[in-house]
This record gives sequence, structure tokens and C-alpha cells, in this order.
Amino acid sequence: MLRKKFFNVGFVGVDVADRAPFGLTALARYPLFPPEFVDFVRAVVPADRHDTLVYSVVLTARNPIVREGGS
Amino acid sequence: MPADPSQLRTAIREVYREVVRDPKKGYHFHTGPDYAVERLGYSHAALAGLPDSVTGPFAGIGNPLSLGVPAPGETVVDIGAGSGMDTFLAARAVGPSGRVIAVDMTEAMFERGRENVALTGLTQIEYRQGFAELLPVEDASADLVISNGVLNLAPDKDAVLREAFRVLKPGGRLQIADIVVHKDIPPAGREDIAIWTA
Repeated sequence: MLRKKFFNVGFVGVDVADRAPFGLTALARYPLFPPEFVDFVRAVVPADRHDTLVYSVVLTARNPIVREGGS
Repeated sequence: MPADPSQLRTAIREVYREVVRDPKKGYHFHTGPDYAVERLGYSHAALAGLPDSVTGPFAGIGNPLSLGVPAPGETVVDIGAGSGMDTFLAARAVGPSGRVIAVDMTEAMFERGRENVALTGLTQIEYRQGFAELLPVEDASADLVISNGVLNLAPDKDAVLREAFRVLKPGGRLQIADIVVHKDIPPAGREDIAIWTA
């Protein structure tokens, strides 16, 4: 789904170079996810998925090179 | 409370204004150079030469420049640059013949960034105030676009990606670090502004 968002706007060569799972406790340390969010997720997501629900990613993509006369 | 974009932006500005004002206050999220080195793999040596006013408010979630640094003379756009840790690392790489355009919507970050440019003398950096969804950057002008933990904060993520695509030259690269949720957040969560902004 994430890759699709990039392809949809025209990017090519989309590559997730680094992908690390976050446990909910670690997730709470980041600006976007306050304790209220973590509590919310903990309540609505089964416990066996708590360690793999969220990932940090480092991603690269390219704007394609358009060759003159190419399609 | 619905996640109205203007409310969301106001809330984000308030959070990051406080981070600039007092980066060591103690937040529920990590900040600063030690965090960047120990958890995200930044080079201690590279950060050691940057002033605290650059590295202290850093609150990124990855290292987009781990995928490659820009070449001398290249033009880089940093979306949501903040106080500029990635910006300043990129500026060193492109050198005086290159250019780094640092875009941030938060007045406090924008002002801090400009102060840091004056402090470091890295005049190849130009701060511009604006939104990630409407970058104040010319079409097809960048060799590299970077961002660090910004896409998640944007109400319209597709618009951010379209803008990154627009400002890149043909063949230009995008390198971002961010957090993604493996499964969709329930609607109630997506609409809660406190969840968006922390």
C-alpha cells in the first residue's frame, strides 16, 4: 500500500531500504504517537500483533528519466 | 474531534515551537543528537561539528541520508526541515556550489533554522516557510528531496508525494524516513487530532 502511493504519483524505483518493527512501548517514544494513541491501539488490536503493527521505514524512490521521443 | 487540517497544523506548530524553545524539557518522544547516534545510526563525528541549536531539537525517526548523500553542487529540498539537522548534513555534502532549500511550516523552526544558517555560515542553505502539501519550490529544480518523520504529520499525504515529485528533476531521488502502520487505523483513531499530533 505504501509503495502504491509512490507509484501512483509517478515515482519509479521505490525501495524500502530499512524496515524495522516497533513494539507499542517503543512507538510511544515518537512524536506522532502519544500515550493516548498507544493505549487506543492496545485496546483495539489483538495482543499478538502489538509487536508488528507499526514499522519505521527508510525509503527511496526516483523521478523517472523521460527520454526524448520515448513513450 | 475531527482532524481538520488547519487544527492539525496549529497543534503541530505548538508542539514543535516548544521543542525549539526547550529541546531538553523531556518529551514522551526522543530528541537530540545522542538519540540520533544511538538509535538511528547517525555518525557521531558528523554531528559533533554542528551546534546544539541544530541538533538539540532534532526529533526525526530515521536517517534519510543513510541511503546516500548528495553530490557536490547538487540541489536538495528538505521537507519539514525543522531546526535542520538533516539540512545541515546535506549542506556540507553539496558544498558551497550546491544548494539546500529547507521548508518548514512552523514559524519557530523557520526562525531557528535561519539563525542556524547565520551561525554556521553555511549560506548554501535557504529556509522557506511553507507547507509540505504546497512546497514553495520551483518545478524540476531538485536533485534530491529528503524528509524525516514528516509524511505522517501531513493531513494529505498524496499531496506531499505529488509535490515531492513535482520539484524533482527527471532522475531525481526521494529519500524519506517515516513510520507506517501495517494495518489501517480505525476511523475513530484517524479522526482524533490528539493522535495525529502528539
